[in-house]
Amino acid sequence: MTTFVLTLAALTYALRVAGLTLAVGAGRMPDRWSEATTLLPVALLAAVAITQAAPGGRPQPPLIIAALVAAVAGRRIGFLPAVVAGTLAAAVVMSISL
Amino acid sequence: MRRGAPGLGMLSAMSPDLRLALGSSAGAATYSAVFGALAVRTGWPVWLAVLASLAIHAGGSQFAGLTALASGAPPVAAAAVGGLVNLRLVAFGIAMGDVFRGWRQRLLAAHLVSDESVAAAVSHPDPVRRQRTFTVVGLFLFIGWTGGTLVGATLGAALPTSMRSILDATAVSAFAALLGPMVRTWRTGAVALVGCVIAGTALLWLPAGLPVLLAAVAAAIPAVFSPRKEVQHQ
Repeated sequence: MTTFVLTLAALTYALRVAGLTLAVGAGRMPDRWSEATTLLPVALLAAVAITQAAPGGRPQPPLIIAALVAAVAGRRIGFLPAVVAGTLAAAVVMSISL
Repeated sequence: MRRGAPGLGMLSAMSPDLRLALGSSAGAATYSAVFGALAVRTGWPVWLAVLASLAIHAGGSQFAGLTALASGAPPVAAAAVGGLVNLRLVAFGIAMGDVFRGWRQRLLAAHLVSDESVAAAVSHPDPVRRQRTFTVVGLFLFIGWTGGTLVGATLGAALPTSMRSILDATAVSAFAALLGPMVRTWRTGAVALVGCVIAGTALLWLPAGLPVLLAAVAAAIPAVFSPRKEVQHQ
């Protein structure tokens, strides 16, 4: 167990450093690459959200509802209230489906 | 002047970064408490569960590795599974941009790179603001994640497993709430949609973490096929 923790810790830190190091060259990249790195957070966030909402590729309706509610609410009422709204929406859907 | 609840007044007086950091930290603490409880249930000592959160600080890989170990995988193989999940941290690091001066700052900041800290930071185009948001959110997340593991591991089996469904909804909501304000043009909307389709489809065949990397391709597509023009940074 300790071997797992220490190995994964070293590996994860190396990956993090690699990402920040590669970012150093991003400012000197051509326009096309600059645009790609600007859109990168959008693509990554969308992918992480769908990964959480559809574990194993199987969409979970309460989680999909939570994501949609939070995404729309995030544009209007701020981050924390949007998270609460999304969580409550999922809780309502879960309680209805029980 | 009407008196409001003191807590609400204090909350609105805080900086946006601090409010965001507190919210993210509370969510992370709750989620990591589940990790701590599960780790103890599978035979880990409390100190090792806390060390894992301190040293790794990446929930998805910690859960994936815990699952792999519990199903009999050798430690190095379980760490490799966790490493695959964490490959996306390279992309998140790149997305931060060149906001840290010198090797020392990058080495210190690296441990705070996470989905939430980077997602919060990159909503600011100004590098100074971006670095500040990343640091504030990253530090609070780290404290919340480690503290939550300590509480969960100590309480052990006392946490109800039914809490996991609500925690999943909170995690999804957090990422979606960060994404929503970033989708301001048809181009960013299209990239978000393509990212969802690519990752959602890849989930059927690939382990967690890799679909997120494939979604990075979605970001490159409009850049490759768009005509050359002045890039407007968000």
